[in-house]
Amino acid sequence: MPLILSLALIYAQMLLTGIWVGTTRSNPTQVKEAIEHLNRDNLGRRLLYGDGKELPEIKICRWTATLQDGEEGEIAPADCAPDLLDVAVHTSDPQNFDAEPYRKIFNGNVEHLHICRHCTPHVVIDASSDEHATTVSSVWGLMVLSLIRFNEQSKQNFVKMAEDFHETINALGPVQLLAHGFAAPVQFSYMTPALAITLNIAGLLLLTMWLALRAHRKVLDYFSRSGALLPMVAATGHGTFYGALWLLTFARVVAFLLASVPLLISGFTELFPTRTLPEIFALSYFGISLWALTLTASLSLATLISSISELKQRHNLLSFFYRYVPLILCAGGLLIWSVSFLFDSTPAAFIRGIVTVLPVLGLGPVLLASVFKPFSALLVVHLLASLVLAVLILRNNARWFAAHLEEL
Amino acid sequence: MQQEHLSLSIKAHDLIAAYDNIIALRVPELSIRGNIIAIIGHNGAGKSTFIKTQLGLHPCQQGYLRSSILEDDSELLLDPALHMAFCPEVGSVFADISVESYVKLWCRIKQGDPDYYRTKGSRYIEALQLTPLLSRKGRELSKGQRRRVQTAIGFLMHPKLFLFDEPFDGLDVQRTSELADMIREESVNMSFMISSHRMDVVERLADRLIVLKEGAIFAQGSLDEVCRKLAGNSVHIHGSYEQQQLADALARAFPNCLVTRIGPSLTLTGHTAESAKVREFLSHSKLTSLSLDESLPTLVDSMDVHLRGL
Repeated sequence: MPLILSLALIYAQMLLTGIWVGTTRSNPTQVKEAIEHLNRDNLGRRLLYGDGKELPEIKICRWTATLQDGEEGEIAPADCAPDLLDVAVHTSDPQNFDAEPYRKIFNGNVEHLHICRHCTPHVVIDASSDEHATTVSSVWGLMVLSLIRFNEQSKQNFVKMAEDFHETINALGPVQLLAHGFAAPVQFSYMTPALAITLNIAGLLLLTMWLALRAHRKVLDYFSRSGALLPMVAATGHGTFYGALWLLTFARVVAFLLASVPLLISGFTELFPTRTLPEIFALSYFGISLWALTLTASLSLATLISSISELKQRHNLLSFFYRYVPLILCAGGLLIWSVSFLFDSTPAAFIRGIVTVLPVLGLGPVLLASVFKPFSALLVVHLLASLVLAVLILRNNARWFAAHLEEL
Repeated sequence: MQQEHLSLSIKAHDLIAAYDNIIALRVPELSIRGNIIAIIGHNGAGKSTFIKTQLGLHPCQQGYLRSSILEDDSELLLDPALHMAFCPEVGSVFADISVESYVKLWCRIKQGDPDYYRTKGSRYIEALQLTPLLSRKGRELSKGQRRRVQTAIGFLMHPKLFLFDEPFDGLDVQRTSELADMIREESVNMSFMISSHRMDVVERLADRLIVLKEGAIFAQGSLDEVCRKLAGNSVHIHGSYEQQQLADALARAFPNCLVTRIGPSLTLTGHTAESAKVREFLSHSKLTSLSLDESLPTLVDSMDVHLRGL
């Protein structure tokens, strides 16, 4: 279940990114191209129907009322076999209902539009009264709904909006922030793609760590509940037992990454078809790797602290609070870092540098390092400090874990 | 009593094991050799911690606790993963799989042959009457059945040292007797360390005892040595008299002793229980017709005296 939930979250994250990037494209031609590309080969359609191409003209299926053994019913037209991925519009008079607005919304993304009184695919729009309401009964239904923004009307609206925005932006030209203590100016005008990918990668890393911890804990809990933990650890040795446990955890994480990384790559390729990662981030592959490594180390440390502090305080009424300790520290660091921009000077840059190198506290600035580019040395120090601290925490808590093995 | 070949040696030096800041075990020095060694003591005395420390499941804050056996005239230091088996107090079987699958898993891990329990190890399955349980899932077993499964698994591993935490707890008389017999029979092939509150069984089974009190060793040695240390002496009074009255009078006269009744006899156990003193008391009470004899106290009485702090 957590694995499926994580994949759904990755998909939702990708979808939101798509919407965000789509609405913030400044160049109308780009917007037009992107929308046309999405119309030609859409990730949502690929997931739903196995093919990213637009579907043939939507078929309007008006259901007919029947009366059998005194009971009222309705049947679909002969060539309109209902499918769960279809959309239904509930109305009291299916034969005379004006389906044109719905045809425009769903054309190309849905095979059948059922006009009926009671039929129930995964998306049902109740138009039987003046106040319409839509009921979605599965994630697949949500995905069907997410496709509607790419219809003809939406496309025209997006392009029009992009043209207006483009005019405004043209008047300013590219905007960049010059601040002390960064390796390069911050390109505000081109920040969206980098920020979008950054947040997606951070989300992926967080979900990966959550899954890893959960899987690890679940297996440990299972052994502990059954009473087999102590005999098994004693019989196999700590190293072998925990090695096997981590292998199980690793297998789960790999399964998640195998399912989610291609999804992300495919999504990014679709969103930014003509640009490579170094172009988007304005960083070399070394810079991107260093950032990704530092971010992974920093998030791992935060997850570790969160997990250990919660475990050690598990009998405390406020144990759930300890889970968020790293998040609070990270938010504090980010706040100091952000406030320092108000006093742009060498001391402010120094404070930013200090916050950036500190493990956990500097997680925010490290996350944003793909956009706000600090000097590589700061990231290297943060990376090393996080790794050292993680090792120290594990070593210092190993005795505690061993002593409380059966309680965990 | 088990024929002594005393192959297991347990040594500790400067040992401290703690839970957070609470010291659970403090053993400055220990050296004991036996074949079935029992650890006894009050609740929370540190018995389970002792066993877990021995298994490497609980870390020593300082010092060491080592087990070795005498094999071919040389001492083999025991490695928990290679040479020990452990049956915890609650027993264990995975809730969602059958007992048979669980036993197979252990056989595969420790013997490299999942069917070992059907072949060379079948006698343990039969002795512990596990055959009817094999098809049942872990969650369908009672506490006693779970422990029987884990006990069989321990034997199937053919350890040099089998550590049992409260093996007789919750067992009826028949099962207790069967398990004790099995331990005695197997003790020619392996050594045992047993933590238990069942003094009657320990008395029959153990050749060496360690008595823990508040995390420290209070007494250790053979049954006689330990009983002598815990309670000193027992004086048995035989003859015809009003038992209850005499018991009450003895309890008042010897406040540091335990008075117990077994059949027609009364037994006075404690460090101040001496025949001469009891005879003097009886003569004052004009009960000169009663006969006395002395013996070492039983382990049950000794622990009673010890735990009551008499």
